[in-house]
Amino acid sequence: MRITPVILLLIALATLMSSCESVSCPLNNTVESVYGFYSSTRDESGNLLGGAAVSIGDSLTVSVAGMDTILVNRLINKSSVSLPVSFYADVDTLVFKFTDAEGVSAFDTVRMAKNNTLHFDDPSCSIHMFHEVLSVESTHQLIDTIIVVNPYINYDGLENFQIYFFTE
Amino acid sequence: MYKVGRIRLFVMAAMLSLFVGGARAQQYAQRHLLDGVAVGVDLAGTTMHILGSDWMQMEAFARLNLYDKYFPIVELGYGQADHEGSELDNRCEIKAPYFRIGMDYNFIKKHEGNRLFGGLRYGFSAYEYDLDSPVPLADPVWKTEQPFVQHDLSGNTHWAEAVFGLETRLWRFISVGWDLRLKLRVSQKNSEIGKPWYVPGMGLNDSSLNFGGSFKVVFDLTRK
Repeated sequence: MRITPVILLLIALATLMSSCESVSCPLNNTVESVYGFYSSTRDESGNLLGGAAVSIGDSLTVSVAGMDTILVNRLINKSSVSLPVSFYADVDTLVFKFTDAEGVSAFDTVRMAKNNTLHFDDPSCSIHMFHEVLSVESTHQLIDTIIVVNPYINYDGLENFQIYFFTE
Repeated sequence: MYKVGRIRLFVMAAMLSLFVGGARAQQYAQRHLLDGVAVGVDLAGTTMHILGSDWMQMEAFARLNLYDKYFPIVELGYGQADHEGSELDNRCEIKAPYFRIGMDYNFIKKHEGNRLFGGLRYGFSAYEYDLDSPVPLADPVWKTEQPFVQHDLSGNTHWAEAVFGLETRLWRFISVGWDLRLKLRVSQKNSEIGKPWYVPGMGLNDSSLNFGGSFKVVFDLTRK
């Protein structure tokens, strides 16, 4: 019985089987909700027909209700905004402040109810929280309506909400 | 993404084994339908753990020898892993049994105790696993945090394997063999929180396609 080839095989097999290990963390690992801005068009009955994407002319500042945390500061000439989502709260309440060129501000509050699900890719990767939107509502100073187009907030970066502004 | 590679000595050692590994040549005038029953163990999984791998497998198998050409086989094993991430200290722990069933085919027509075989396997494992982090998951905006401790998550995996290997008789009823395996994950169900780092029997769970191998000691129960 030849021992040497057996030992060589054992070593070689161990080398082979331990060599194929990779870490596959996603390159895009930001979890944010995406709000698109649209002008509203309604029929004679008042039903929303949709609207064209618009870039907001006023500056937009978004903050967390009840906190002094500003999520977006003076965003202007953009047709969408990406906002972080709380990890653990069942409802996020955000304040949208629109300020025109004369410095006159209007405020709308957006409330989003959601489920939160932990997301674990790999032991070498950061842990994240994904969300599923259950409902959304808003006040109506400038916002005509807000609808959910994609309830899943994750790495995809797809549009989740469409905010339709009054066109008067 | 990035891969950690090492120098592979496997092919060189395999060729050496084929030509140097000894077996007493025996000639068989006529093969039988049931030409033998064999059992064996796989040493590769245990060796990997001894050499520092975060996972370990203990496996035994039983197979029939039909005409010294077809070898139906059943492999049963138990695998476990306890792995911490290289970049972060998140941890995955898993322990579970697995099984495979399949068939090997011997390409060598001479019946001298050496075999060159190819084969297929179907594998399955159902498992529970734990995912942990030593630090709480902190929300940087809303300034809240909760510990990340997820235990007894359940899942299962089905996979297929293509096998290629060699076997040689060392002494009377004892043979040794090795094989390379290409493993294809067919289906997998896990907790929505995340998947395990390792699947018992299949190996690392970072891709639907990966390689593995085994080093077997075989005991032919019907040979004197």
